[in-house]
Amino acid sequence: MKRRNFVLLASAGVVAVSIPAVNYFFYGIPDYDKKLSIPQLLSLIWDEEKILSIGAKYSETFAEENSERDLARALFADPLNQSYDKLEEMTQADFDEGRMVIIDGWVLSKTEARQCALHHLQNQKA
Amino acid sequence: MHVDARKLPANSIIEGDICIIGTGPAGLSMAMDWMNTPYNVMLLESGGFEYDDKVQDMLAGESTGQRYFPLRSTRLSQFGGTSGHWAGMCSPFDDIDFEKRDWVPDSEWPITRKELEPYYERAHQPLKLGPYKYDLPYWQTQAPNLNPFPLDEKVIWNKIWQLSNVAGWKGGFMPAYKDSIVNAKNIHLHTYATVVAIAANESVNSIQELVIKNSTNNTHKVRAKHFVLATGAIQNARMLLAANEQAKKGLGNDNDLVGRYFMEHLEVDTAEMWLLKPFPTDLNTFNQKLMFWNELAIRKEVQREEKILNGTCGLAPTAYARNKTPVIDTWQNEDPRKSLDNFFNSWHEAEEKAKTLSQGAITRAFTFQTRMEQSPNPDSRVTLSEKKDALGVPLANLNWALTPLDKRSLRRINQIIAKEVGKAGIARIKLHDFLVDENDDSFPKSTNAGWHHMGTTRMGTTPKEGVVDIHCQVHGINNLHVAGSGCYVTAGAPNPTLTLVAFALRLSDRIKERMKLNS
Ligand SMILES: Cc1cc2nc3c(=O)[nH]c(=O)nc-3n(C[C@H](O)[C@H](O)[C@H](O)COP(=O)(O)OP(=O)(O)OC[C@H]3O[C@@H](n4cnc5c(N)ncnc54)[C@H](O)[C@@H]3O)c2cc1C
Repeated sequence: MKRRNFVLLASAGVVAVSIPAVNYFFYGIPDYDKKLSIPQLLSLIWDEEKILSIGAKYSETFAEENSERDLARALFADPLNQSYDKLEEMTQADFDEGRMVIIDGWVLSKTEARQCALHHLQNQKA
Repeated sequence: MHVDARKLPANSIIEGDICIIGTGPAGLSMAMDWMNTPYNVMLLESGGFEYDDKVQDMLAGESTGQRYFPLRSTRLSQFGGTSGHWAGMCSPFDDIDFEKRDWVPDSEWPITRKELEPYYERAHQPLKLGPYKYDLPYWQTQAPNLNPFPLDEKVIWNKIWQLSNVAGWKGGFMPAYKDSIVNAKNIHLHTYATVVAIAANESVNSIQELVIKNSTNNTHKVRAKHFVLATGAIQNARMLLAANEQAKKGLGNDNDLVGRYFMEHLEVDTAEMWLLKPFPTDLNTFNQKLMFWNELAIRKEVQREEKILNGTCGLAPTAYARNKTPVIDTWQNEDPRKSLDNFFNSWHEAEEKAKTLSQGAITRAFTFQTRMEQSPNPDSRVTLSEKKDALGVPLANLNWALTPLDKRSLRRINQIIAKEVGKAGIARIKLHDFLVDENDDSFPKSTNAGWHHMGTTRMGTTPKEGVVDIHCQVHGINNLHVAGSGCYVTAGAPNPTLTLVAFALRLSDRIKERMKLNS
């Protein structure tokens, strides 16, 4: 095998087996379960379309967070503690400590608003 | 005893001990308090026992500033006054409403809430309310399932209203009290007796007589030891301002306060609360059996910390509220009966439309109707028009003016509750568009008021601070008194009538005391 092909294959293999690691090392995006970007509580009252539109508006309003890396870092800072329960805990803490944002009139916890934005970005990529 | 003043011979002189002008909740509650006393009470009313368009005409007027209801249809001129149309919602003011609030300009009352307490209880009688109980635990013993939302009690509390059994839809005060007033020997009810002038003595420190008139164009005079203006806050101011022959600026108006500080309640749809899960409770719906209603209120400590006005949020199903025409739009007809019909029709239409939204999360959504005081504002005022009514009295004009504090408070109240329901994990809240921009102090044209007129003859310890003194006597005029919500320094969050009847009864006691001392 020519050296060039090997390099290509090898690198493809690396990419194939550990996107998360690459994401983390090259883009700084922490490993997280994509499903966790759907805010559980909000999905009790909203459909996906609404979550996406609120996410888009959040990204527009908070342009400095308009990247998967920033949002995932904010939401999944602790790689060993990622779950809906953890996100709900963070949501609760947001309300307790007054970390709320108003998007399209909705008074939301910063965490759940970020989840919407992350979901919106994932949806754009897909 | 009843006299139709249209049938009196010209230039009659009517004499008594006390003369009460107006038979709305203020005037009638007072008059009934004097029944079976040794005193002769002259009770004067512009209208009769039925609605009369010509009499109602005298209530017409123009409005500037924040869009308002037509002045002509926002009151009723007949026996029973505006109680013929009122909804009967009653709740007392809170302690904080009477306290000094340095973030609310001109808000300090010269009396405390405690001084009014015994009169609140007494006011339940003429208003035909239930027991004088406004705490949730009491009502929970009366009916099952009155579960409050699990909100932080240091921030939110449940404020109770009672519904009067003499509400407009039951005919108001007229059917309840007409017979007893007409049959009372010492009460001399004169219908079609519109007061058109107030004459004082030479030094303008005592009223000598009133001039009354009606469509016959005959004039009559009414003499008494004490005179009580109980014609509603707009009319009371109009009458004082129009009495400008002996006092150039009007009676009691040396300090240019009469008509100023007109206040209304904002009763505005402000937000939607979407419950994450069903929450079984009967607390937040109108309880027809108990004649009871509840709203979410903000603790006074939080109001102090946030520097906001007092307000509460009532809940209406969002499916219904979204389909409801703003009340201010439904109530634009100059004829109060037609406005009332439009108003009820819009309810029924909204109810019908709401039926199409009977599935999904919207069934757990409730719209907040925020009921809030406005801050006392000297530019919000009643003045005299150039135009006159058929009896020659200048009409009233109104400039209803709101302030940035009003808007900020309305927004904050809803944001505070949004935070609390989030903390409790029970719901999320969507603010209505007009509240979103923190820099926007304006109020949309659709802003509703409550038909509550307050503050045009405000109470103050000195004539510089108020038109009436702490006993509701016009400063400097020893036998002229004002009964009604015009005397309020601040508007509180709840509807005004329970409090104004309490004040009327307090005034009643005061005049009785003075009569006794003088006899
Ligand atoms: C649609 C509607 C709903 C309402 N709902 C509520 C509610 O739920 N709860 C609440 O607390 N309040 C409510 N209100 C407000 C309530 O009706 C008033 O607060 C109350 O009627 C005021 O009582 P009053 O006696 O001061 O004045 P009014 O009831 O207005 O009575 C004044 C009387 O004075 C007479 N008068 C006026 N000028 C003269 C004159 N020159 N000579 C002789 N007589 C005169 C008038 O004809 C009238 O009969 C509502 C009002 C409306 C219109």
